[in-house]
Amino acid sequence: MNIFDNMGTPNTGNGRGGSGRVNPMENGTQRRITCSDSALDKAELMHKIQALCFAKTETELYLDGHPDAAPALEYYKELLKGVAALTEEYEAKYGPITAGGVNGERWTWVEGKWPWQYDREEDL
Amino acid sequence: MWIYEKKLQYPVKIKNPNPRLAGVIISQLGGPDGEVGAAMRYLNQRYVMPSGEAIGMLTDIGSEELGHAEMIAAILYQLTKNLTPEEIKAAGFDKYFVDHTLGIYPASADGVPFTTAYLQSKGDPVTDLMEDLAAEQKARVTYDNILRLSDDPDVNDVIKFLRQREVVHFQRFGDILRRTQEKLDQKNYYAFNPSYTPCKDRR
Repeated sequence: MNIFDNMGTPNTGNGRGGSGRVNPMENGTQRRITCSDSALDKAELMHKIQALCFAKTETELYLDGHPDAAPALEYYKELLKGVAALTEEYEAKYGPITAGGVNGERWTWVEGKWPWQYDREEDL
Repeated sequence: MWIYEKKLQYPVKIKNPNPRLAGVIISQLGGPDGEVGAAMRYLNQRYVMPSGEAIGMLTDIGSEELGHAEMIAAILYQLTKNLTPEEIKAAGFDKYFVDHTLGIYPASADGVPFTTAYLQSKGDPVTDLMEDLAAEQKARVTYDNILRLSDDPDVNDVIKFLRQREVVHFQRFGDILRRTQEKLDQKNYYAFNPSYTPCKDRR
């Protein structure tokens, strides 16, 4: 079973072709948000991490109630590998997800947006 | 001990401010059946549970509820961004604003501050797990009511996710209750509380 099965992608309008994302407005016109491909990559990577971490949480709760379920434990170990790989990629490109993920010369933990700071003008 | 991850469990991306809706959704942060109460209930009940499975489940669900409290706060933050005093007054949000500005303060929709009186930690596993089953149902109904009051698709997407988590948590607590009951004395069901055994040799 591929752990990436059944994972949707964030609604990015016309997909990865080009560097713009079309954002429909209430009055029917459309506004193109210009953004880099890396902003799109960051949003899609974070979406994948959230999806995989959600599967991980679900499996943890199931195992708490059924600790002897060997297939569930095997599935959990696959999820751990997937989460670790995606986390490593994200942290290398975009900054730490835990404080322990800080690398380089600056304390990047205090940089960048915090998870609730979505702005419709700036963010995907 | 807790680790914090700089991401939400599920994305919250709300395009349109709506302080009236925020005034209702705040009950899922600091209200009687909200996420802060759920986290405090499970994380405090876990200490005297008689099995590792029960402690594990309460720890893990309680920790997830802290993540949900963060998501509700994110919803409130985005619904109240950059509001003018006129918008605040028009939405009836002025009573909250005068005491908290646009800060996040766990309270119910009618302004009652969060209190531990919303939860119990009875020190008896069957009792506590029964409370937990009820708590998840109460939270689910609260999300049902929010969906009846909201027509914002960005908000409703998140609310439906959180509502589904309550349903799943209910199932998980049912698993643990069943496991706990199976270990009790079948002949005298409430004969003793496995979390309280004062006759134990203290030496």
